[in-house]
Formats: sequence, C-alpha cells, structure tokens
Amino acid sequence: MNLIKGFFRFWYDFIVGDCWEIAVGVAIVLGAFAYLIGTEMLVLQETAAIIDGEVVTTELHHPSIPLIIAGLLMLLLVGSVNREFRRKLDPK
Amino acid sequence: MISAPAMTLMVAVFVASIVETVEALTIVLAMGLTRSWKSALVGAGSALFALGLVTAAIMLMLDQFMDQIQTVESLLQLIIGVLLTIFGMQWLRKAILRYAGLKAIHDEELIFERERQAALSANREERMGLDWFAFVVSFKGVFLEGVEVVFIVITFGLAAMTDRVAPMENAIFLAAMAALIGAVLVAIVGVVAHKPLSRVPENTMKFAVGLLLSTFGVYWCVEGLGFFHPESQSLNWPTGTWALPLIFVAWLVVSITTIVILKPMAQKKSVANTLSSRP
Repeated sequence: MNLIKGFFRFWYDFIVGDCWEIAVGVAIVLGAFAYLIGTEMLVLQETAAIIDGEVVTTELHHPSIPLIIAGLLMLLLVGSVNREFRRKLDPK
Repeated sequence: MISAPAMTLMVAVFVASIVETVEALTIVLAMGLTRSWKSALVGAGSALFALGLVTAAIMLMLDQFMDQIQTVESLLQLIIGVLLTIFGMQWLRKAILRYAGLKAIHDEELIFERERQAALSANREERMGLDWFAFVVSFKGVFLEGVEVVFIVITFGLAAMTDRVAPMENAIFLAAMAALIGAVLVAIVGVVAHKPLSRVPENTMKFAVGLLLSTFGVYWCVEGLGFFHPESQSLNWPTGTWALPLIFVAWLVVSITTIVILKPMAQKKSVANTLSSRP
C-alpha cells in the first residue's frame, strides 16, 4: 500500500509540484475547448483534398482557438504568480 | 546541417540537463566530502543505471507501439503538450518569483551546507559495506533530478519525431545526446572545481528552459485538441510552425512584464512589512 501511495505521490510531486492551480487551470482551459470542439460548438474549417479518388480532410483550422488558448494559459501563469505575491507579502 | 527545430530541441535539453546535473552534483559532493566518497559514487552510479533502465524500458515500449501511436498522432500531441505546458509553466513561475524577489534564489552553496550538516548529524549505518545514508541520499538526488531530464528528452523527442510538418526521425537520440553532453560537462567541471557550482546562472537557465517547454507545450496542446473533433485530426495553427517563435516571444513578454511590475512592488511591500513589524 505504501509503495502504491509513494508511486502516486512521486508522480503528483513531479507533474503538479508545489503549484496545483497551474495543473488544474491547464486542465480546465483545455477541457473546455475539448468539449466545444467535440460537440462542434466551435466550427472548425476543414481543408479537403482528393487523394486516390477519395475526399480527405487535410487540415483543420480555427484562427481564434490557438490565440485564445495561449492567451488564457499566459493569464493563468500571471494569476498564479500574483497569487503567490499576495500570499507572501499580504498574508491577511 | 542541423535544422532550426532540432537545434532548439538540443539547446533546451542541454540547458535542462546542466541545471539538473548541477543540483545533483551538489548533493553527491556533500555526501562524498562529509561521509564516504565510495558510498556517494556508488549511489550516484546506481541512480544513473536505474535511469538507463527506465529510459530503455520506455523506449522499448514506444518502439513496440510506434505504429499505433502514429495513428492517434493528435492524442499523443495533446498528452505531450499538456505535460510540457504544466512542467514549463512551473519552471517559468519559479524563475519569475525568484527574479521578482518573492522566492530565494537557488543557492548551491547554501544547499551544499544544509546537506553537509544533515550528513554530519545522521547516524552511521553500514549496509553491504556502504555508508547507507550517503548511498541513499546520493541515489535519490541523482535519480530525481535525472528523471526530469529523461522526461524532457522523451516528451520533446517523441513530439519532434511525430511532428507532421517537419518530423525528425532521430529526435530522441539527438535529445539524449544533448542531455548526456550537458551532464558530462557539469560532472567534469565539478570534479575539477571540487565544490558546488554556485556560479552557474541556474535561474536564467531555468527561465530559458521554462520558456521553451511552455512554447512547445502550448503549440502541441492546441494541435492535439483536434483529437476531440469527429475527424480526430490535429488542429492547425494559423501560421503553421511560424507560430513557435511567436508563442516564445509572447511568453517572454508576459514573463518579463510580470517581473518588471512585481519586483518594485515586492520591494516596497517588503520594506513596509519590515517597518510595521518593528515595535
């Protein structure tokens, strides 16, 4: 039992580390977009090509998804640093 | 001629390896100088052997499932992207906090002194002709720092190998070589200097690696999200691979802006707290 606990503890410390909000934040942002893409609420543009007589989708685009995700993850980092700032210097 | 993505991959792994090896070296030196060189070196060697076994097992597994992995390329990109993003953001966060004065700068001499004191106060217990404390501490130090490098080598290498636009067949090998060169270089300097390498600009290196990991992490996360589309195909960035330098610059600007804003605020608050705590 201790071995299993130790195994999970190791991987938790290794991936999540001392800042769980980053791991949770990344999961929420990507989970939300995965849901929107999966349910086709965000319509992706498909580029199709004919290969051996069959129509094959070659590329999936959506100009704003990458930018929104990158922006949200950057905001997450700033928020996490700011939270640490308040915790350290404004304990109240 | 090495391509730009291959060069980026090698530089990131090389720098990460230097940072981690410097930290491991401090622990082994502290054990060797205060307890027993034999036990410290056997501990470090056993850890390297264990790391080799772990890496070989992962590589064998990947080799076995490579065909299946490539059919779900987008899922692989997503998993690697998520891991690299979380890992990179953690490194970046720590480096920003250190630059802003909110976290103590990683001081190898201080860590060396702490490890040395712990080694001096620990009881002597012999097992298999080794000083067990020195063996275990050296083993753990080298193994835990090494796992981070192995993780970066495999995730980075695998993603570069299966990249649709510019796949690099030997990416894992190149990454492993870069890591090995970094580790050997630090070991040689450590043996020559015979003391912790406190002059290595660890925070700057961690900041750089954090930027690179976060950049590639976000890039692959977005591509991998295409897995959830009914077509299960990777999503494309509007500018293709040119998105990589743009994401890097964006992370850099966000990080530097955060440091520039927080540093004076942290100094002001720290002075105010000191004054208000005086009787």
